[in-house]
Amino acid sequence: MIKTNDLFYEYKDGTIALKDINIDLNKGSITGIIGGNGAGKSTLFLNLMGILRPTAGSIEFKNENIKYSKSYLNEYRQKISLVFQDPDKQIFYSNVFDDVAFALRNIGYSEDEVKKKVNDSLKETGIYEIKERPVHFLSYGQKKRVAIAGVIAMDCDVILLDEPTAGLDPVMTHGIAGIIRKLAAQGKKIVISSHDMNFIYDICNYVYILKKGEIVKQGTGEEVFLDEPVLKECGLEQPWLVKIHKKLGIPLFKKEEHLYKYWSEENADSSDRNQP
Amino acid sequence: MLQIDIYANSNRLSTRNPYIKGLWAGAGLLIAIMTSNVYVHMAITVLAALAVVLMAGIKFTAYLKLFRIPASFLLLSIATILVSVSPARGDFLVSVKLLGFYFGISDGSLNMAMMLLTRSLACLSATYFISLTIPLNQIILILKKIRTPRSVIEMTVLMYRFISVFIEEFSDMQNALEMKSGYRNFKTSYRSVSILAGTLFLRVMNSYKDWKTALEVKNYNGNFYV
Ligand SMILES: Nc1ncnc2c1ncn2[C@@H]1O[C@H](COP(=O)(O)OP(=O)(O)O)[C@@H](O)[C@H]1O
Ligand SMILES: [Mg+2]
Repeated sequence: MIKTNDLFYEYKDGTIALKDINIDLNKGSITGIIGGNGAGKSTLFLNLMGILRPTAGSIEFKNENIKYSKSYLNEYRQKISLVFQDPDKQIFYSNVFDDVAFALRNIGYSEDEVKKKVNDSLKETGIYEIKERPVHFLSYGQKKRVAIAGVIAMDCDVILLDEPTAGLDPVMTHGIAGIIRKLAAQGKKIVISSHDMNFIYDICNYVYILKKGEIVKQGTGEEVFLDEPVLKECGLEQPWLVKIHKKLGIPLFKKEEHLYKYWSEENADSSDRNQP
Repeated sequence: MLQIDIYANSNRLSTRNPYIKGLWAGAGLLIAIMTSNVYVHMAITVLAALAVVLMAGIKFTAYLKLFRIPASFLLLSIATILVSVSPARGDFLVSVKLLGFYFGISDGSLNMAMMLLTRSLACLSATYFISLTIPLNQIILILKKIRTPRSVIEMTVLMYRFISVFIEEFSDMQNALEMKSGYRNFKTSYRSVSILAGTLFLRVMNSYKDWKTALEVKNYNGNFYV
């Protein structure tokens, strides 16, 4: 649905942040963009949103290049939205409900529809109980959920999440993963940038590695994460499931539950064999 | 986070009907401004204190502390009203002669000062009653009810939100400076304050840019819905 063609972006100060990027978000339902700090992940997202305009190359949405007129972008941003890394910079109201409703009201939904959509997305993100609380009383993880709820409420086809788990505790991270899976199950395309390799390996089915503004590798999670030299070069690490596969010769599993199941079956077998 | 804001959101009156609270406070303010009767002013002051302490359940000492800063301004201005200067002793109740002039307190200035003092206290009490028992979300409801212009309400919402962001950023930086011995002595304090001001300014400008981007993503069209 969304593709980039030789996308090139240079900031005004001459920093070349993206070099001839070709990505195709149709290759997976949950796409991961991984890369160290300054690799260009956020810049790529801002280009995909039409906020930054490529210096060269183009972005294709439904087989046509996106345009930069106000009316086109208004339409476009109802179908694709972005959750920024820092929740404080995208929450404008101190009332959770009003903030989640903000984009819907901008688009012009009736107040009844707004109410329904907002309540649904608050429930989906698990913050319905705190909707009356002032935002500055919330924890970082809760604010992050408010930001995500604001985007979910818009019911976009494509949702970009810039480092959704940065700074979250394990429970919150699991929670976010659950929300993302639910959205993907509803048929939405999800794109996640992150340098949390375990998270990406767990949740994504197609992964791009970005290094200094260039795509240096792409493929399914297994393909990408087995390439240790490239990961090292990019300052990234292998997920632990891939590591134990490489180092201990255990088969490669996508989820830790699969490993535990395999392990207990293996051990059950060997204890059978030891029986006289 | 502002202490006053914590009170507003977490006391026994927080969730009560905002219009009734607003009506009480508004009536108190109006009466205090319109009458010059010292006893009415005192009554309002005492009633507000009783409401805040007994009904809302805010500690009396905490409430008193809130008056510290305004009280210093108040006393200074009252003192200047109280004392007048004249070349003759005239109708001064008490006076001192200094450099050929009489500095003293007259009957009129005494009454005036007394009235202003009690009126200020009454107005202050009514205002504190509002800020301590009506959280912002309810204040917005009241503002809408009395048909405040939309743009004023929009600004109120945005300012309130960004004051808390600003304070958080300020106190984080303040702590960091303190941790790095930024306030060890007069000289380093001087430098730390300048660093703080400069950095805060830069951060505000950067935040402004980020917020603009976030607004664009949410299809902002110039209207803040409140
Ligand atoms: N506003 C800007 N002006 C100039 N250069 C920038 C700006 N924002 C980011 N950059 C540069 O662009 C590169 C990519 O940054 P970014 O997209 O933020 O990376 P990431 O999100 O992967 O950490 C970095 O070298 C960064 O210094
Ligand atoms: Mg980034």
